[in-house]
Amino acid sequence: MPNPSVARPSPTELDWMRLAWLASLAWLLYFVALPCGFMLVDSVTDEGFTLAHFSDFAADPKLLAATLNSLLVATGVALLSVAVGVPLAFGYALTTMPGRRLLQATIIVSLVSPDFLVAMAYIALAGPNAGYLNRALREVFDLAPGAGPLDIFSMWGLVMTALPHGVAYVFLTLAPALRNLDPALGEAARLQGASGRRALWDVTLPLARPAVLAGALLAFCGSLAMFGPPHLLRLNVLTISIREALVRLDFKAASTTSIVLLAFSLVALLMLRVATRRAERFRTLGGKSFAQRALPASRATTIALMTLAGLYAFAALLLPYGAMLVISFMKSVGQGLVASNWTIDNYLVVLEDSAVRRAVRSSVLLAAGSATVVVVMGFVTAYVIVRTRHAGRTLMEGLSVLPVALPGTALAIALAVVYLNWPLNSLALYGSFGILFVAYITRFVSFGVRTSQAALVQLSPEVEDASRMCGAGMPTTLALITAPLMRATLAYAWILVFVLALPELSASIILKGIHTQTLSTALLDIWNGNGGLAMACAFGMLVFAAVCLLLLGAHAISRKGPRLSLGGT
Amino acid sequence: MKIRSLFAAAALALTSAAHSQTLIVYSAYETGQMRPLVQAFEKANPGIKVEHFRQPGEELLATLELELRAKSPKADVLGLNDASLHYLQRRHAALEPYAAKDAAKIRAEVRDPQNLITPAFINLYLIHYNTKKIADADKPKSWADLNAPRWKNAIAMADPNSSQSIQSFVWFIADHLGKSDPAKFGWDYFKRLGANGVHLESSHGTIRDLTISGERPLGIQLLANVQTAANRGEPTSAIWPVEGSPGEVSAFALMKSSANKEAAKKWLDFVLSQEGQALMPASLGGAPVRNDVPYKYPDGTPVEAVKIIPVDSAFISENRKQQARRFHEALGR
Repeated sequence: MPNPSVARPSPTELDWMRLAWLASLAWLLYFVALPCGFMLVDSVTDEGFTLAHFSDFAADPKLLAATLNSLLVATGVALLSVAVGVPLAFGYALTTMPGRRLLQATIIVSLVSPDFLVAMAYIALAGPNAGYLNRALREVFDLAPGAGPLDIFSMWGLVMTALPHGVAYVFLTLAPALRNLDPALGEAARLQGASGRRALWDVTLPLARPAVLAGALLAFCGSLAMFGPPHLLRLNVLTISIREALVRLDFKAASTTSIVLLAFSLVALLMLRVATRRAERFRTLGGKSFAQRALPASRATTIALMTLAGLYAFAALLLPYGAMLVISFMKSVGQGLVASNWTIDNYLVVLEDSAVRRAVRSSVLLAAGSATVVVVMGFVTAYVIVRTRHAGRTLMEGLSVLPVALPGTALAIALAVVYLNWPLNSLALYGSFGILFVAYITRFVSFGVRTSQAALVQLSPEVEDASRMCGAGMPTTLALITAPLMRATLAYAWILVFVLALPELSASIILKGIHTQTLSTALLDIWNGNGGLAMACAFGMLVFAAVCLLLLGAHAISRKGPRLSLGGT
Repeated sequence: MKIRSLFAAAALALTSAAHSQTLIVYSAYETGQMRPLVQAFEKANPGIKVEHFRQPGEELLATLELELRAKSPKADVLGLNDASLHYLQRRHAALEPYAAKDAAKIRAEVRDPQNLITPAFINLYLIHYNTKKIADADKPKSWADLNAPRWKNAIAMADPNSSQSIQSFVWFIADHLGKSDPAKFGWDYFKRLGANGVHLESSHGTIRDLTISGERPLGIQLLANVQTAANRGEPTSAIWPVEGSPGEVSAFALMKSSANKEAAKKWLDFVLSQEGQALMPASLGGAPVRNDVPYKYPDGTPVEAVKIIPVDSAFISENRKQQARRFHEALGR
């Protein structure tokens, strides 16, 4: 990280920096530290300090089963994501395998494809009795009629539904790391007589280990935090227990369970820190000063990699959205694929439904608002962290990472506790859009700060120094020099936060009031009988189409903007 | 505190201005099912606009309790079953009695002497089955048949953690039939049903869709959803079990806190009117509560052919938490 080089600031400038520092600290404390702190206190108090809620937790067999299930699923998803994601990232970043851009596009689309839509589609595909996939498999392999061979309503089903996101996390953290590896290191090994494979195993992969672990951690935390798929598949995991406790209006049980869930994510995060601390000393992932050379892979390797990529695209996108598309045009799901059964009514009903419209409008506003706050404040905070030497920067970094480990369901409980109790209950946020807004901002804090941080690190501070030497003040420099240089990054971050926030479910389902439905809760409501499967599929397809279009826009913007490597060395 | 009351006053002023012609209905009834009733009401009462918000019953009760605790209940009218409405009344005294215009026409057995609730339709439990998956000759004939090994992993029912109505069925099996036929019924029935792989869903609408797709060809279902499936032309039909069908009264009630009581009372009048009652089968999918409105079940069965066991809603409203807990214990999940 380049050292901050603030050249003798004048008194007025000092004020600006202090203001930025104060604002960053305040928003992180308010949005991140406050809910976490409140929830922690709530879980250990009753009229005084008590650990009774935790001993109640430990004595409840259903909660213990949920804990075990959550850990098993998260570990399974993390391991399988590495098994699939690492070869894909390797193929994408280091070989000449054809279709690499398509692979990357597939991965990014599957990252923003809402997991509950995938789960919904897979219930129709892999339901043990009548799933289309099961019927086809029984037919092709001449299996006994009745049930199976696949059963989506199982832990395996949950792992498979969560896998597309997990693989995307591993791929998206590892691929850039591999691209930035100095190939000279691998070549040095080969000059010493190591085979290509040996060089890969002994040099390249160990260097990439921190990125692999980081991806695995994201997959682990993401699966722990998952709400939609286990809700649809009716499986007993911690996020579901939290919601059930809330429906019983048992806030203590809800906070305690949330703390347990958060603790697992935090432990994983700390383990990652410890495991990658040594790697930091041999930092090779800096600014890029070399051209990446692709390794010519053997024919067999190329074919294997392409097959894997094809399978991924098929299972994560083509199959589920294909099934959803077909169902969305059915008059009667029970009549199946017959000519008289096609209709576009499901789309018309969805588009005309006033509740759906209201929900979509709310989600668009919430996503746009939170993306704006997150990107702007993320930029300011990142600037303070990267470019200044103010106190409290470690705390800021910690707080800005924390939301990664904070499951949406747990965050929602924390906010409910904060805004239902004295003193903040006087804001009357509970049950309004305000509390959803707060939740969305908190969920994506890390995104805003980390994106700007990464871009700022690559942006040479000399450019800013030059501007200020010419007499421009701090705000002018930021507005006229720094921000424009980062325009593409900020715009890209904005759209990504928007796209991820639009179908946000796990916090929304807890915090929505009866008047404050969001797009995802309205969709779930339709699935829950308020319209039915075909209508839910039509709505799901519209959401997916919107998300894909937005992503395309983000892509166009990020290509137009200036390259990020400007002045990095 | 000052700020808070200021906010409250402002909010009150705003809402009463905005809602003078808006009737807010919270209910556990599906939006699609409510739509015909809402449209007919708005046509009969020009100037009143109905805003309907729906949640599965048990979740709606939680929402209402939170709103009542926060002292900001927003609904004018609630639509829940008899037991849930009385539960809410016992805990929060949130309802206001109102005798709708045609209250005298209500069938005697569903009438509420205190007029706290206005009965809207009778919802029955029956077995919903997929006619493509299960031949007429093979179909189960009774509630007891559902525990036969051949229906392993074929049945879905609602989870009392989110559904209010399933409490009526749980009472019927565990308490009512449990007393008369303890060998086949009582809590052990659910133990056997659990071992037979019954699938729990949060809402009856989802169960209807699972039955329609054949994923769970048998559903422990409410009449309303069998009606919707029939209206859509789905390949499903009804089985009237020999032990009878527990019938619960689905109702509406006036909120004491309503800022719009005139419109709310008009809604209750309409629900009980000849026109409203005639709409019940096609909209909310239940049997009318007036004898002077002709009705036949969706599979063509005449009303008098079905043995209806009126649900003990006082018992349920008192024991709902225990029932839900014992149900899950019996099922082992």
